[in-house]
Amino acid sequence: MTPTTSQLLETVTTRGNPQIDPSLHVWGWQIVLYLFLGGLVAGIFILTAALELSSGERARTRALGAMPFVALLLLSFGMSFLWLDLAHRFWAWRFYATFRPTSPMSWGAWILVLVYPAGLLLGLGSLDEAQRAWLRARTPGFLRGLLARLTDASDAHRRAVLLTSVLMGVGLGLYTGLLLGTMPARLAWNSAVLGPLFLASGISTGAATLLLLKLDENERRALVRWDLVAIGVELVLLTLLLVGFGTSGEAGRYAAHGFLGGPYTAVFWSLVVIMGLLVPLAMEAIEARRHLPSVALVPVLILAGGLALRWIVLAAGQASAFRLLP
Amino acid sequence: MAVTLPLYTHDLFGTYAGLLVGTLVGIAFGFVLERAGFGRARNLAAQFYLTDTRVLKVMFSAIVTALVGMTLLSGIGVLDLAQITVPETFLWPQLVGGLLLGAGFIVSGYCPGTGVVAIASGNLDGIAAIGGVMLGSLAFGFGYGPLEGFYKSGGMGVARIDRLLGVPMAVVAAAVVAMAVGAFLGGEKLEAIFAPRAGETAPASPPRVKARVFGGFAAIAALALAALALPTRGAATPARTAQTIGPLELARELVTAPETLWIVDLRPGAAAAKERIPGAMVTPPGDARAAFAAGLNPTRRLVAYGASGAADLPDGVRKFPGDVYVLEGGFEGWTSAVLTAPVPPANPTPDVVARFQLASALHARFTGAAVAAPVEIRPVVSVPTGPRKGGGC
Amino acid sequence: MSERPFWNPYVAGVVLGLVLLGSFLVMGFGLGSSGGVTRFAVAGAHLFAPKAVETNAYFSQYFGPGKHVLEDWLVFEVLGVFLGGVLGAYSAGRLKLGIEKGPRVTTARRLALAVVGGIFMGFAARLARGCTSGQALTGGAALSLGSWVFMMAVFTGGYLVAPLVRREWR
Repeated sequence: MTPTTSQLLETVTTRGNPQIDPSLHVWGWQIVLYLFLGGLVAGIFILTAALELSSGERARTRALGAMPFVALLLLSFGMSFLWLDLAHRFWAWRFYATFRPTSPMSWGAWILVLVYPAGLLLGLGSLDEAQRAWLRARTPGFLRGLLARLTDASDAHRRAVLLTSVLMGVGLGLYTGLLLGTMPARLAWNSAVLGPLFLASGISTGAATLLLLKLDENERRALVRWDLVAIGVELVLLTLLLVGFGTSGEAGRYAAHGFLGGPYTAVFWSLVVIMGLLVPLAMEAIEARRHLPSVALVPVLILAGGLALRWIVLAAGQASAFRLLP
Repeated sequence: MAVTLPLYTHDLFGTYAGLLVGTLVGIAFGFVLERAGFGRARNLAAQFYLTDTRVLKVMFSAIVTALVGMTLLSGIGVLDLAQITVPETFLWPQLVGGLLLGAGFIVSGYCPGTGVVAIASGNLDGIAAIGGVMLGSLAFGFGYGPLEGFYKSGGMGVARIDRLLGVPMAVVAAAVVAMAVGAFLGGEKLEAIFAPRAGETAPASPPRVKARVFGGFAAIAALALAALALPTRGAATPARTAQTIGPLELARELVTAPETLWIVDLRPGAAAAKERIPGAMVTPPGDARAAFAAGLNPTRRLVAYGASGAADLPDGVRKFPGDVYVLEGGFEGWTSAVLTAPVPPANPTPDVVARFQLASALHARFTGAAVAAPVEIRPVVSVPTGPRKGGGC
Repeated sequence: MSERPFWNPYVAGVVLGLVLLGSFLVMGFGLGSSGGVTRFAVAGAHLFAPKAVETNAYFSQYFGPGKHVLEDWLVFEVLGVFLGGVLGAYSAGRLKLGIEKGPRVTTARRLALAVVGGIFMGFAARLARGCTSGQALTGGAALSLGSWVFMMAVFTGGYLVAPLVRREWR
């Protein structure tokens, strides 16, 4: 028996054989949570800034004014998961020694840095007088001057700050999806639609997070409207994603199969589409039509659906490796 | 009319789309349970104090509807009853389990399904009840050892009442309809007695609704009985069977497109470990039913083989959602067709030579032996076939 | 917005029967719920004691290569029951936090009794291979002898115990 031929066959057939090579599942819950929180934070930035831009006045609810800071905390939380996932954790600074315009990871690393000052300015300007006094009292003496200058700057250039926040939010939200598209060997990630899809989902989960707060009625109604639009856009983009896969040749059809009959069919349609999109959509529509009191369950379902979307796209991508193709 | 139901027999959807059907059926189930008032423990408990026999009415109406529906559809030959899963009967555990579950029902106020609906409508006692159900099922699992004997006692397999009585299903269905309507009327009488005693008004259904529902039951049951007069239908749809693949064909596929195949070796571990078809997966120890095969990606075809011939397919292979093939002759077939050098044909025709060359090339590929020398094609003398002899069978 | 009334029980029963019939006609089997709830419990226990659950003589059937304890029809069906219940309760104006109990029982007692009753049901449903949905309703419609025995036993058990817990409800 010549070893070469039979060994060659053995190797070729057993690639992807679960007993030999279970899967190339290297991105786990850390990345899922990071992408989820990143999208949610992007949504909070876009929505708080957009609310203020459209109404022309600061948030009426105090909790809403503090949300940019909460968003930054959540983002730091998410980034700590990302950092946990890195193989060389203490070389992360190297991202900032360079900038590669063709690399979404490089864009992302820089957006993540720029989001912090933008969020700080957005947040400082959203605080009301009482909150500002509270913050001033708790700031160490040598920083008070800086705080006052930043707050003044934020008030003086409010429109620029708000527009920058929207821009940063859009950039962050898009990046969480486009990041996945950089790996062509992952068939289920090979779509530019993932960027806008994750952005729309981020806006929806951001709105859901804000809806969990006790809000002024006008603010609440505006957020529900934004949420309905975001959910609608998400449904369209999901359809486009699957249509795109289905019409793009063997690799795409393989990726689409994962969601249309393959292993991710049930979880994807049940958790993401039905639980995370259609049921909240129906409930928000019923709420508006029949003037029912809102329930916290709607945002909870949206958040769960958004988490499921990241989890399933991440898992489906890692299960759809190029080498399984004929 | 052809036998077309149940739908799953047509392979319209695989395992995963089937799970999605579960979500959709569940949504309908949960919605109706809620609308029936079963998200509220007091509506359910009232059954046992006879002030409102809503549980009886809903449950029996549902059973009767599904029963007469299935009876009629199978009576006119649209539904194949053999493809319907009937829960197996284990008399003693089901009797004792029923008593315990009934006791738990009135104490907790919910049954497992209605408890989920109670949670969905915001009732915190539903969370407590379902938490209890979870604890109780874990307790059963961890106390299973000593219980196993009782759990399996009184086993009768699939015991359908109509089969046991030896009468057509339509007759039993008609009897169930009569019994249910009797129970409904009895329940309403009891409500009229017990509800006023508890200071409540007895729930009254509009006579028109009752007339329609009861009349509908009776009409469908009568139609099902009438369908007994129809000529009996032909055989049921065949169960999904595995296709076969010859050893040479498999060998060729293995060379040209190995990534379209899952090969599963069903032989015991030792034999499979010694020698197997390249790339074959071995059944792991302790997984006699090859359950792992059910989880393989269905985009490939699954080829299973035993020691010889078509072995009985284990559950796991059967549940593989994609196409399943059985290797003709099993590993013995593989050995003789691929691992043994093919004998050059004595009477070569182009067809035979082509087959020989393929076999020889595959043999060489899988064993490393030298390819057989080319065979010269000689003209074939056609042998006239004589008249066929009669007789025999 | 006031609550919408419940459906007439006979009508609700017929619609429920049509859902059950639909499940039979599409999937070839009926409804269930305790099986799904059990799988959620087992998945939860698996987080804490994976070895103990996987090697358990009863729960080992849920595990194995290529198997996930939550990858099951009943799990998705129970998820659907929850979502359907949410839609039903919300659209009828009934979705609000509350506790169902009689006027003469404290909240703590009611919740404790709900847990105790739940434990009985969870145990009983595994013993009987199903609950009111999987055995009584589904098996009843399929004319399974054991399911009818189970159904009669459920009513018997309920009526026997009901006088003892009268204070919980009346």
